[in-house]
Amino acid sequence: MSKRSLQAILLVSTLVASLSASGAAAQSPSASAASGGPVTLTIGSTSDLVSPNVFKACCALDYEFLFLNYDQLLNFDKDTLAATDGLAYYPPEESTDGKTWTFKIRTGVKWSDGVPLTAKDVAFTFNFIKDNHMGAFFNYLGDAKSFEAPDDETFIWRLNTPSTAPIAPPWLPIIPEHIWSRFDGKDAKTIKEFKNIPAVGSGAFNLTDWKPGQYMSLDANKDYWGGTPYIDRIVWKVYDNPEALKLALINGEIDAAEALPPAIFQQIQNVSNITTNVSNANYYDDLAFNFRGAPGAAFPGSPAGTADPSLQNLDVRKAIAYSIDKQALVDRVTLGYSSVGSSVILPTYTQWQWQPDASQTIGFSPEAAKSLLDSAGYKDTNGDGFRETPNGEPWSLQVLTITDLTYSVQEGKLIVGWMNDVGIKTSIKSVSESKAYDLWGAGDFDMYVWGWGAEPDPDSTLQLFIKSQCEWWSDGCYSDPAYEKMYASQHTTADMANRHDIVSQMQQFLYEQMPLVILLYEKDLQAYRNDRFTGFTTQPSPVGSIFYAFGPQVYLGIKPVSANQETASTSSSSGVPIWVWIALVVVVVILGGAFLARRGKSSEDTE
Amino acid sequence: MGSRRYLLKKILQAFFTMWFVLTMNFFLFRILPSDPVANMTKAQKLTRAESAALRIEFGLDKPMLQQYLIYITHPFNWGLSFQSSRPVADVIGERVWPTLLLVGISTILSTIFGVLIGISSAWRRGSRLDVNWLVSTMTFYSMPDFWFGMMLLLAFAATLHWFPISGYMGDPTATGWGHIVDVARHLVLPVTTLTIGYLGEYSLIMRSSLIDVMNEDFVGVARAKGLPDRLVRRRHAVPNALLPIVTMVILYFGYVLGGAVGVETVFSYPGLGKLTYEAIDQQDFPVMQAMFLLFSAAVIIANLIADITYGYLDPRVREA
Repeated sequence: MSKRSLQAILLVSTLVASLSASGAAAQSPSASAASGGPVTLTIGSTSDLVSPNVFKACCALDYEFLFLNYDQLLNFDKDTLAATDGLAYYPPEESTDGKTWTFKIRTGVKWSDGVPLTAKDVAFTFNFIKDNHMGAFFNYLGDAKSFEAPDDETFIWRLNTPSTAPIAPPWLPIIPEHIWSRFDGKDAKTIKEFKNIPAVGSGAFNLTDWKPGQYMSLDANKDYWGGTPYIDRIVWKVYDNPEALKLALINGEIDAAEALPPAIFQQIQNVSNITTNVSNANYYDDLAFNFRGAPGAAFPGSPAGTADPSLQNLDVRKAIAYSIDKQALVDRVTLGYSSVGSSVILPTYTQWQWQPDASQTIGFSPEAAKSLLDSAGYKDTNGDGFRETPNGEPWSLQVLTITDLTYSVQEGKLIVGWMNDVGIKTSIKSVSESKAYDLWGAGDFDMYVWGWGAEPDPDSTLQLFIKSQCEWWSDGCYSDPAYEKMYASQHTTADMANRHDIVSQMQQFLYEQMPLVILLYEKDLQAYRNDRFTGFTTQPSPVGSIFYAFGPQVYLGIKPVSANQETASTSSSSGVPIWVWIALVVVVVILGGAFLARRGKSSEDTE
Repeated sequence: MGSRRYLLKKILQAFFTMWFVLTMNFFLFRILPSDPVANMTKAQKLTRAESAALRIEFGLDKPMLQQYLIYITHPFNWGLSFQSSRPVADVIGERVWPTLLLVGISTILSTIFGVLIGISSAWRRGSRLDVNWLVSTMTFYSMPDFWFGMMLLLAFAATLHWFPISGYMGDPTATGWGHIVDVARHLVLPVTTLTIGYLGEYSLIMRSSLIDVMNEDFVGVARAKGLPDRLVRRRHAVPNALLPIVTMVILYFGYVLGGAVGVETVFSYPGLGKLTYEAIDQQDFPVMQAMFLLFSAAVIIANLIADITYGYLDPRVREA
């Protein structure tokens, strides 16, 4: 064997040996706490941040980042979601006409770059949203006249018409004037292009790093006015498939996981060092009807579409509702991880939700469905098992389902079966979400199985059913003059008790008039390693979410299980064992030596 | 002179192909029956004025021909992502290096091991070794890569805890050698998945090509001269059998930027394959267009390099 050959083998072996030493020493961020490093809570998710720009926020993780990184004018109470102290003290001073609300802003708060936060930042935020018409938060402003800060501690919200908007509370982040003022007056594209990393905020945590498709990292604000967090850093890690998310939680690569699918969630139920949480989600699934029919037959004032005219008959819609077994949807589609739907307001928002009593409930009753259809004139006149229109013409409906959504197709299949059982000839059409948006925009559907997320204040949900939302956010351009009146009343009253009454009436109205059928309320399925962290609570209590709540309160209570931190850190991915590396080095040396020895013995080519 | 004309001809063909691809790239996305602004803004609360302004800003209010002329004269002006309003160059740029590492290393390794296996298999054609190689490489080649990747994940990450479950790196604060090792650990399983999954293709072609060459007269002459088997293989047979492999490898390097969406999903690896899928799903036109342009350009350039290399290696092609 030549000297050069021997050097080559030794070089390769050394490289392998040094890789093995480094690999064995490689640690995950959570483990660094054992050696005195920052305490990091790593949460796994199948979602990613869309953008750290405040005005690009669209989805759950964006809002989670917003309300960790930024404060709100008023916070949501941790247990009840009622308004409570935020940057401003609650309650504010209300003028007798309900049009002027004066807030006292707390002092001593600083932005993450050290600049003091004052009432002027609060006034700037609201004026920025109003003047630049930032759609994401615009609806929280009420019929705003002006926002003023006569001094550093006073914020005045003036309205043209009375409203409870100032104490809803408005779910929007307070942004620093010294960072965002340069975008004031610019077009929406310029405002939304701002990268905003690091995101200067006053919240309990501050976004310091974001790698799209990989993770976002937020550092704790140790001077936070609401209390010093026990954890030093939060990392949200992106997983592209839920199986890997589950394995990462079990393996210790992450400390918590959210949005687990039911089948995966069931698999970790009995793991001793994992605690699971089932909470009310901020989302409902519904069967929404289209009221956009042929010109002349269309719902009054709505643009033309292709909806079957029978859907404008309340008895037909009620019959469809009676044919749906919602409990079966809960049990068979979501494996029990949801609850039967009724009102458009989610059960999470206990202070707003109206529930029908036994006499009002429209439950599963195929007989009631058939009876309603018979009395409406939809009878099976030719004995083929399917009903015809009152004019004796063939009658069929189509349910649109969306393949991108977790439950839509399964729900749709069951609903179609039940409708066929009561004699309504129904078919199913499954499309991607992008295609569904096209069909929705064109009014080219009878009904679809989709859903809505809902915000704490009911206004954003209730406005879906007003006329001005047609061709905008309305499902099928439903409208009713009585409902329009109620909506305007609740939108312009400054009396919270009065507003509660109106909102309850509106929910009952929608339940009875049925522009849509609320099928079920989805649940959030979350889990965490109880051997790593403790102090997890939910918002609201007791059936709320750990993550995707309404502020930082839950995170402020999470702390490491310090006695077990060192043990826990060694249970994460620990690298290839040293004996494997040694075996690899030995194999490389043996094979290399044999190969080179064989070459040395061969004769030269003597052509 | 023949070489120069050959080179010029190939370069001109590449330019024409690139123009054709650019044009197809533009019209293909506009044939889709959907409104990109509606899709872009579906989950956001925009006012109607904002929505209309977006249509103007992204040039969607202009006539199709005008949009095309703007596009063809500024092919690298990729604009902003519809989804995130971030520059498309940034959106793509942050995934290029992880993709090059994953698919590039896998392509190199599967080429090396595929060629070696093909040589070994062809030289011992019909033997038990040949059969074993054929069966095992074809088995792995026919396995869905996402399934195979999941099996490796379960075995070596979830059960043995030898490697991380997912991602490109575990410790974003690591620097220097620590960062290299961190990234390398995260690459092992996805690279292994792609390498083992695709070396069958190279081994089959190498085997087939070498068997053809082994039947040539010059190989018989070399044996007749008394050369050892090993030298006949190494100096006469293999170099001639490598020509198809060289072309294939260069072309496959053109596909590197396409990523590997199945493996990226299993290992939650931030690659261009998944980005392309997401852009299609979200109808993020600027990202889709940029990805298809990059991908097409890479394949066209690789094809050009393959043509030139082949012409250099085999003079008969240049002079034809």
